[in-house]
Order: sequence, then C-alpha cells, then structure tokens
Amino acid sequence: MTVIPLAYYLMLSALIFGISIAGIVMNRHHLIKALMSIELMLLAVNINFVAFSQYFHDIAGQIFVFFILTVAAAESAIGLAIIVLVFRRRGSIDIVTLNELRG
Amino acid sequence: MTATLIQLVFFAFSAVLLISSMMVTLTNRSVHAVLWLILAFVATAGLWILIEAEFLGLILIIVYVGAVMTLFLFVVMMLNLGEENSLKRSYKSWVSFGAMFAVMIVLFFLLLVAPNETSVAVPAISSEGNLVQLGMALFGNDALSVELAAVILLVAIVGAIYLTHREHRHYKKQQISEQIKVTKKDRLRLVRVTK
Repeated sequence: MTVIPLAYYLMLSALIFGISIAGIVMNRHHLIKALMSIELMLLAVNINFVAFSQYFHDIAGQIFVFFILTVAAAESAIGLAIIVLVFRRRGSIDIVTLNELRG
Repeated sequence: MTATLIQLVFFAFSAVLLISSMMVTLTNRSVHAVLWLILAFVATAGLWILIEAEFLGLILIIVYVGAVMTLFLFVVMMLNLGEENSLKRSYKSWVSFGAMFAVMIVLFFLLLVAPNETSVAVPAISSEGNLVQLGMALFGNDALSVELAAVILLVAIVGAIYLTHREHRHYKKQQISEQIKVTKKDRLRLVRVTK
C-alpha cells in the first residue's frame, strides 16, 4: 500500500463530505434524501478512520468504524420510522413545512 | 499486485464513489438516489478491501447494502411520494448556497490535508490478519463496548417497532382483563323450574 498516500484518502473523504453537505442544503424538501446525505457523511468519516488506522498500524480506528456503523444503522432505522410517522400525519415529508416550533 | 495496478484500482473506485455520491444528491427520483447510494457503498467497500481492511469492507456490504439500504428502499416505495415537483423548486434556489458552502468546507479540509501529502506510510504487514486483530480487540479490551452496541441495537429495534406499529381499529380480539374479572354470578343464573 505504499503507492497511495494517506492524503489521497483524506481528500476523497473531504470531497464526499462536501458533496453530502451540499446534498443536505439542497434537498430541503425531501427528508429521506437528507437522511441519505447524512449516511454519506458518516461514510466519509469512516473512510478517514480506516485510512488512518491502516497507515498508523492502530486497530482502534477500525473498532471506531465498527461502532459508528452500529450507531448509524440504529439511527437510520429510527429516522426512517420517524419519517413514516411524519408522512402518515402530514402527507408529505417536506422539511420546510415542519415549522410548528416556530410558533 | 504492481504499484500502478493498485493505483489504477484506487482511482477507479474513487471515481465511482465520487460520481455516485454526486448522483445521490442530484437525482430527482428517490429510488434512483437509493440505488446510487448502494453503488457508493460498494465502491467504498472496494476501497477498504484495497487498503487491507477486509472485515469492515464486507461488513459494509452486508450491513449497509443488505440491510439499511433495503430499509431505505422499502420506505421510499411505501411512502409513494410520486413525482417531486417541489424538489426542483427548492433545488434552483438553494443550489448556489449549497455549492458555496460545500466548496468552502472542502477547501478548508484540503488545506488541512495538503501538507501531509508527502508522507507515504509503510504497508501494514501483520502476521495475523485483519479479522484476528479486530476480534482480539473487540472481545478483549472492548467487550463492554460490544455489549453497549448490542443494547443500542435493541433500543433501535424496540423504538422503530413502537413508533410505526398501528393497532387495527376494527379488529376483534379477547378482552383478557374483562374475562378475568368475571365471577360466577355474572354469568350463571339458577332458576327454579316448577312442574
């Protein structure tokens, strides 16, 4: 693995993180796509963790990835359940119209 | 593998990952977005296997592509959102803001990363494989964390089922508390029958 510098992995992950931030901002009318963008962000973070773990010979990074995957799976399950509830109650999953807390 | 071949594989997977993650945000149809996200996860798994993290790459395919993305696909199909006309409306007005924000953050990260570009690390040669190392760590020092992760998954299961479960309104079933409360004199009446 000497042929691929660590920086390439970091740049790749930064690009994906930026793309998913843009995705969250742009898909403001679609809750599921916002959730998908959050999954992409977690993926970018995980790429960083795995790259650092392999390049510094420390297995702890991969253990972090393991637990991040666990928590992300739980998060998406609960998030999708909440989305289903929102759709049942309001008939749409538009984030912009969810403004009851604005008073 | 030779060096150039490894580089070629890396760039191919990176290109697939970047293109598919851009398509996740840009495509108009939800099902297509889910499918592009699956492609992104598969490309990432390839990258991880290339960097000798085989276990996590396979876990990514099994757990994410096999379970989480299936869940997404089911929810997308269940909600029946139809054509998203509203999406295009928001897309136009917010694309500049989103792109600007993303470019800013990416530039920030790249500036952080750039000084390290010359540091090329040595390959991770270990006598035991990736799986053995992970297993020793997970069930050695981090055993308590594994238990906590199991509790988190249990909470997620219970929460998701509790949130989405719907009682049927016209569903005939036993009223067990009523049945238990019944005494003999509620149900049985002795009548003297005269001749």
